[in-house]
Amino acid sequence: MLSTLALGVSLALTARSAEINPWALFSYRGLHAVTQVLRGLWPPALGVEFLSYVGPLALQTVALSLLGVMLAAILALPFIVFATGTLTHWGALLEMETGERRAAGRLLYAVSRTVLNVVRAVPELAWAIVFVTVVGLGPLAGVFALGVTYAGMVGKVIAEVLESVDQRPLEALAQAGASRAQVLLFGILPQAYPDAVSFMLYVWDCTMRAAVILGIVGAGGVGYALLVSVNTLAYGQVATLLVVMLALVALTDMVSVAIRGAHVLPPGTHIAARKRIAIPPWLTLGAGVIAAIAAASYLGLQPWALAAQQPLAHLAAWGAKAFPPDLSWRFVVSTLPAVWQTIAMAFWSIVLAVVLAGPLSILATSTVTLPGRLLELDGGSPLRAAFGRALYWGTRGLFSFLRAVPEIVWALLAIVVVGPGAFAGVLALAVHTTGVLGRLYADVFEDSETRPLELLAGAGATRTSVLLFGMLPAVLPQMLTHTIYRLEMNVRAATVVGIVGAGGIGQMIYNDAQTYHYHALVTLIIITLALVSAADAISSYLRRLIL
Amino acid sequence: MNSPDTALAADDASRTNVLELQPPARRSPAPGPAFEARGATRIFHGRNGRVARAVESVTLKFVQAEPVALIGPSGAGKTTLLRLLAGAIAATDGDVLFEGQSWRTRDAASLRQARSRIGFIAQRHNLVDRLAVWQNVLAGRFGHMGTLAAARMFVWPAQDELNQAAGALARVGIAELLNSRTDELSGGQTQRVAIARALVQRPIALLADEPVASLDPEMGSAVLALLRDLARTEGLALILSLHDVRLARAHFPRLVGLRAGSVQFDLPTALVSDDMLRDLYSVETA
Repeated sequence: MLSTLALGVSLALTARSAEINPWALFSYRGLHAVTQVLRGLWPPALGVEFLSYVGPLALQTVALSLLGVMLAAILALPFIVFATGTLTHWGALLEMETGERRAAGRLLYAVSRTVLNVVRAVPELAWAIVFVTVVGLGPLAGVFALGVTYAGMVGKVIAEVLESVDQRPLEALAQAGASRAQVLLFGILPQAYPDAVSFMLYVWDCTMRAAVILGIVGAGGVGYALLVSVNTLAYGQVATLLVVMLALVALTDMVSVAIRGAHVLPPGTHIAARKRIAIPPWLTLGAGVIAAIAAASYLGLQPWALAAQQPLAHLAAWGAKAFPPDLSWRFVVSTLPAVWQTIAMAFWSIVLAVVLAGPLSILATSTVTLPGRLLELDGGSPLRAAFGRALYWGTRGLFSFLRAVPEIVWALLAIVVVGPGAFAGVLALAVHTTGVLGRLYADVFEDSETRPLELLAGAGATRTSVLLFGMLPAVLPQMLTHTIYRLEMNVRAATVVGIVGAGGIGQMIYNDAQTYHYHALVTLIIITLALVSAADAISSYLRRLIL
Repeated sequence: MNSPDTALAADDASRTNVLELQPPARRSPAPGPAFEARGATRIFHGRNGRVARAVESVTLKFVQAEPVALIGPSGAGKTTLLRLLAGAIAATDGDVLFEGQSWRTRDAASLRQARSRIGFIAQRHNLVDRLAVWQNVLAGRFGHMGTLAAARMFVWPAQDELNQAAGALARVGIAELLNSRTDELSGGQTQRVAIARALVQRPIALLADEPVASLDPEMGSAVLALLRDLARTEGLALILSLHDVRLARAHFPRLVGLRAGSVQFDLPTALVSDDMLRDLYSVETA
């Protein structure tokens, strides 16, 4: 009761800032705009001229994603070593270390971890805007943005992978006289290799998802074409571009699953089979390097071309222009409404997504809707069984589509319908998050214990009461955990949808970048960083509280 | 799978092979004890503020070419004492010396150099699973080379390096496993690979922590005999911990009894009476 009241009060308090305006959507004009867009999507633009324009952009997107992974790995490398606590901070390898070396190790560890966390907290689109102001429009800015953002992620996770290997063989190596570097290269790496490969493939997945939208801020790839098509109301082209984006992401997924399968076989696989299938490390590394070189030459970023562009000189010149950040009282206070709006948008989008995803996810739960399961819809009738299947696959497919389209793309479309402003951002985030939460909720439902439900159903309870009193109480903590984590993600996303005019601090970031207010731009990046880090800290605190 | 007998027979056949590779300087150790503990104490701090005195004021000397077994109930501090001697951990109080120099006074380079002269064999998990056996064996040379040289050795091993690995493996009776992957080996085989690596280090001492605890009795006996034999023929100091008193009495001329971190006795095996052993392992606490 109290929590319901608190929720209602928070919604009321944030509604104004989030510019909640259902009328904009459900008025004649709003609904008309929705039908306009939907009808415009068919037929997709398949003209030779358009396709020959999109094709190279799609290839550029692939190249961007590959180089992004490569640069992220290179940038992260020095930090990974120091951020691996077992090499610098704790554990048996450091037993005989002198006091000064221990202190130095602790310091290096803390500095590396902090750097990795900082670069990770700023969304890639915000980095992309910054790098566009540094090296100009084009894929080079995109490569830098991906490299910097994902260097944080690569550094943190790979360091944790390196920390988690069996320490006892490492102690044995050190005991035999191996140096720290030898222990790392020949004790830690061989053990961590499969996990590291599989994680880098996941990072490639992430950079591809990011690369398809970087073009919206002019940092290369297919996103630029989408921006132009939306702005010229060419919805047939939008449809084609959405398909291209989704295909690129799906393709990455398929390729990485295939490669991962060759490296990491499911537990229980016979050891001989594992040895036979495993690809030698040099082949994997070599293929990765060759792919990155091919990508670089496709983007015209061969080392000599890159050197000619003098990115470091640009960076230095930019730094001289941008520092110190504008920390004047007046400017910082003027950002507060945007910060508050970002939080309000994230909050409202989550509430809307929960309202939408909650009921829909029940339909996407195989144990509920698929025939022959626990709460089967069919009473033996094939028609009802078919209906159940259609519900299940329909909602699952809808969720996949909603979450496959990035928030920023939904924001572009929402602006067409309800006009620019925070409400468009709320809708965009809510639609995307419905896809994510719907899937997560459905998975939670499916994994829940079915035995008590069977007992309830056997005792003659109706389907609704079985779900409400049997299933829901058991899975509520998990659902809450997912929701809080998503809230954190939405704070992050809410900081960037403003780039296309959908409210929040992103709007200020974009404006200051466009008008060369670099001192202010740096301040805004720092504020974004603080906001995302705070959301991260609060969400992990809350999630610990629940579990 | 080797039976112990064939393993030992293989030892005899290949002994000269390894000996040729050992520099003669190694067998003229510095005079004085190889290891010395002077009132060595090691305290561990547990998570919830608990303090464990694993080893308390231990004073012992170990000389070259004398096999010694540390015996005592579990928790007596055998492993901690071995790790103190080997320079794996530092003494909280007192001092531990190797070849007359305290572990405490060694810098990183000297620490590496000293450790590489001691072959240490833990109860289990000595080896990196995903490497080939020859790579695990040649890791014993790391103490004598830089990182780049080690990388070269692991990718393009020279013929004499492979010969050295093969020789050491033959010495422990598993020459045929040179190219196997380490995670395919049995428990007894991994123990032998760990010993082979220790040999490649060209050590002046072998320290082993319960080397046979995870092996069946027959295999355990064979591994102990192998260690004794290696220590004798190569002139190495040999110190190991054993929970099996029968094995310790059968194979070792000197026994050190540890209980609750302190030395209860340090005697030639012949002078260790059944009463002393009963006291050592008795359940009631002092």
